[in-house]
Amino acid sequence: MKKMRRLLLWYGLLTKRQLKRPAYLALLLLVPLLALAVALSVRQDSGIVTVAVACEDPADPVSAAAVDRLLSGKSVLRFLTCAEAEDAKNAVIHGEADAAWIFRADTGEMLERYVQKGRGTIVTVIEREDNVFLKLAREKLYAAVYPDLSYTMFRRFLETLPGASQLLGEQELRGYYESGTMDEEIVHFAYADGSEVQNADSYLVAPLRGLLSLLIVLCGLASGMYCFREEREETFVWLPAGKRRLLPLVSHMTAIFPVAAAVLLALTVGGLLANPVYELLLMLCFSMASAAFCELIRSFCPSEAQMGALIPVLMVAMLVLCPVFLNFRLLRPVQYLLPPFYYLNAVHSAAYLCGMMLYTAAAVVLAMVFSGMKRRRA
Amino acid sequence: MSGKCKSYLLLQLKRGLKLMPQVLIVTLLLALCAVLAGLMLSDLDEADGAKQKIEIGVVGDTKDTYLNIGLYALEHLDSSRFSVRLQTMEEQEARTALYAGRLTGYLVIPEDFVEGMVNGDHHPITYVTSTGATGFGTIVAEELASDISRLLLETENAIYGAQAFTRQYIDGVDPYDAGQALVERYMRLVLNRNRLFEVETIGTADSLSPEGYYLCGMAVAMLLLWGISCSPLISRRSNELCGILNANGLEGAGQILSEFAAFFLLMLFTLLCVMLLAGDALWQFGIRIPELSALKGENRLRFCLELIPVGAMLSALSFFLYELLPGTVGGILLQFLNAVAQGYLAGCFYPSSFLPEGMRMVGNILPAGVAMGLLKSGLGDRPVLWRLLSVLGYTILFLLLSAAVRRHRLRA
Amino acid sequence: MENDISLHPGDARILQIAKRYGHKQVLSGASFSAQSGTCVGILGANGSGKSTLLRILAGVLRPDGGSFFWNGTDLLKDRAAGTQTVAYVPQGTPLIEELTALDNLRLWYEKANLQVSLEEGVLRELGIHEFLKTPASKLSGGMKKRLSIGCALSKDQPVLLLDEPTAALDLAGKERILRYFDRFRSNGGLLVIATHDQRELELCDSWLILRDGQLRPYVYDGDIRRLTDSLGEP
Repeated sequence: MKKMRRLLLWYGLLTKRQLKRPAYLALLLLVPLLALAVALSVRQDSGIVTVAVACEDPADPVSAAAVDRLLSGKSVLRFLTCAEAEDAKNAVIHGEADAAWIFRADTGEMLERYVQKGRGTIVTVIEREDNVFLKLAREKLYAAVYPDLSYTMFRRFLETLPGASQLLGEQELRGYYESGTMDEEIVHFAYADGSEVQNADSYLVAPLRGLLSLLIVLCGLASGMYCFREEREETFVWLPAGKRRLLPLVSHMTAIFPVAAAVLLALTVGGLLANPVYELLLMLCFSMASAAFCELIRSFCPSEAQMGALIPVLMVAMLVLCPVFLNFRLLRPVQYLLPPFYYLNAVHSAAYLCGMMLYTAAAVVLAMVFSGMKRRRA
Repeated sequence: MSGKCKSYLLLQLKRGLKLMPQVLIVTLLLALCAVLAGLMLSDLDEADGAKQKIEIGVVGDTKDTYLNIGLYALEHLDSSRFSVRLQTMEEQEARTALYAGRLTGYLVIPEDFVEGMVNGDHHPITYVTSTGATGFGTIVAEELASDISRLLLETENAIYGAQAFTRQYIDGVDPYDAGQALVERYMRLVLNRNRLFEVETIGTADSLSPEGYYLCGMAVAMLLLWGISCSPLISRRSNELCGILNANGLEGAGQILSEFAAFFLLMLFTLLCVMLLAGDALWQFGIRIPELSALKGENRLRFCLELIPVGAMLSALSFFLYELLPGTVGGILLQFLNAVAQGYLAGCFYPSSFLPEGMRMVGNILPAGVAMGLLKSGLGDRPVLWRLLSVLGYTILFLLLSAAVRRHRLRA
Repeated sequence: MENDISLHPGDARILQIAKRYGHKQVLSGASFSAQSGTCVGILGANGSGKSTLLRILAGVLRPDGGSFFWNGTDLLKDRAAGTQTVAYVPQGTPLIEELTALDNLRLWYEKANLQVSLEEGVLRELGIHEFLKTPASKLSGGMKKRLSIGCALSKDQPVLLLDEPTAALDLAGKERILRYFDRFRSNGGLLVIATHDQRELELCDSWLILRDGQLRPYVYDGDIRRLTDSLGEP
């Protein structure tokens, strides 16, 4: 009990020390504010491509319906509606849009021609140059046109059946077409742990969790540099040797835990927090994994200068190899060495959470071994 | 230049020389990470050089013909550079492969999926995506899947509507055969859907190839982070030396110029090494930058030369940040925050066209955004004069600010 | 309350301390002995190994060989006993600058002991009660040194090792600390001081010169020139 109280006192005082460092305090305040700024700014109109949409004949029901489908709902594409086709074209020429989709005046007729003869252009697509995002965007255009195209195909097919064309009017045909209409999605997304993908996230906010996890590790690495300085200045010279070995880990945790709390707040503000209880547990484990990782790096580096030199390399490696922006499937053995890799994958997978705990234990043991070797060399 | 300034400059150069090997190694490692990122982004398939492979597992009941037609269509998408390879497997195997990174995701098709649809009893297909947090790829894929869902639902409406109609009104025609015939027509329709659109490329492209864009982005990101590796050179531990120099006639501005000159020369040397080695590395790994291949030799040299003022500006920014927050650790934290924030807004990570208008405007005026603008213009063989002037203006501004901060600190 | 070190008299025997850094043999069989209630001065040129010797005796550095016996117990092997016996104040001021003097003390003292020491113990004697709420970064050099000594003596250790304790202090600060050392010695404590300072030398009862890795007795009579010649080249 007495030892626990001493440990808590030390933890409290070392944390107090951290909080008195202006740069650190500024960081704690900035993190949630930056997340808030990102969360607010993504409410603005944005998209991976900007498409100017126009109808040559706004009264045409097919093009109007297609445009309506494009503009409704959330999308990774950004649409600009233009009154005239010329405006849409100019938007592309002047760089305000990546592409222009101009629905022709006779869209309905063109659809009929396409269904009957296999050719018939309904949309003029104007681009500066083609790329993969514009190709994917055209799939969305196709999906917007498809309901009318599909109905036209259905109607035309029925007319080919013997005796069918006399039988039903347009309304009844519609009735048959829509009789099986479902509002459900045929494909739904889930994570590995079975939880559904709640796609309320904007792609702009999506990397926030990854970037903030790197910040947590960076604070631990910075704490490692302070530990070198403290060793040089013999700040904790009065601590018994055994306890002095554990001190760096405790120091890293005092640096990491407040930032982790700020990151959790930032994730809440950014709307990225899924299950609060699980996220709390996850962040706790990640904080310990980061502390262990930073201590391992520190025990491996002979001096403060070498550790400082290694920091940018580690940060860039984590930025590239951990699923911050994209989830690469290369260099998996190296990915397994980085704490953010476990954290970002464990958001929807308890298996990675267990992996992270094992990683933490291994890192602590290795750090102790390297530290011991360094001490014996000294 | 006064004698004192010259002596102090020589001193700083000597310090820089001592740190050169360490900084060079770190810079080369950073460049290697950037090349690695480029390699993983391109990830060319040797069998089909034009397309990226997405490996998807298929689990569950795949006996139904209609379903197999749908899976066939998915595997032969022809309108994008992505190609999909489907592998049938057991769920446990698929889960293991997903965790190991061998699969992008896997489809779980429920028992009697098609029959359920016929009976109005929908059991949706589940696409199990990554184990991790929602990423850009998941968001885009989900939107595409939603569109595909709509296509399938409309097709389903038509097929079952046609079968119901045939069953009720048409004698002598098997509803199943009618459905099959309609499916074949739909397949042709889907595979030839590009005929619905007339694509006109007007050729006013001032945008770069993805490779060219990311070359600029990574160069700027690397230069933003480079300042961290130089912390032993310019992070100040005490003001005593500056005070003594000031008392001996070397004022704040002279100190700043001498220190920055050494910092800049160090950056220049490491940049030169990286340019030489990275260019070769890109070639070895098969990463081709179309703009660099298209440019004549002297224009390639021009692009490399444009990196110099960009490097000068971003080093001046790093220098100023260290002057603001002299401690080594605080300085490193601030450098990283600055690199990430500016890199994000300037479009080093996501293309700037992905960002909302407001963020893009902010990004364009930030130093990193100005740097991106200069490099992109250079690669795109467009006029760069005013951008160059902006870069130089920022460089001078940061040096002036650094001198002002130093003078203030000396007077305090 | 007087410091109760007098209840724990002892005799210190330092035997054959050896330490090598790379190719350089810094200490090669340094030995000496001392009794409670005395002050030993260790002199030597810069880089002769004084700080290394003190750090070894304090248990901060591991020696290549040798022993430090206190009342028959080898403190270099029995680290727990070493912590209870030896207090060490290094050359710098090993304080956490961001924390107040009181917070620095709370790291090392048990709550009850801290209270007692502030009211009538070593902390009172050092005058630390005068600046408890001041952040360590704002303390003068003398205050920092007094605070360091106070932190070091959190367990009322009978042996106090000091590495140039009054270097860079003003006269008033120096005097205050030297008066405390005198009282410490009078109460039965053993002081071992690595020093270049004349006032500190005058406080000592015996002197040793560390040269070529070994300790040789020296009698200091106030003749600085003779002392300088004895120290040799750094």
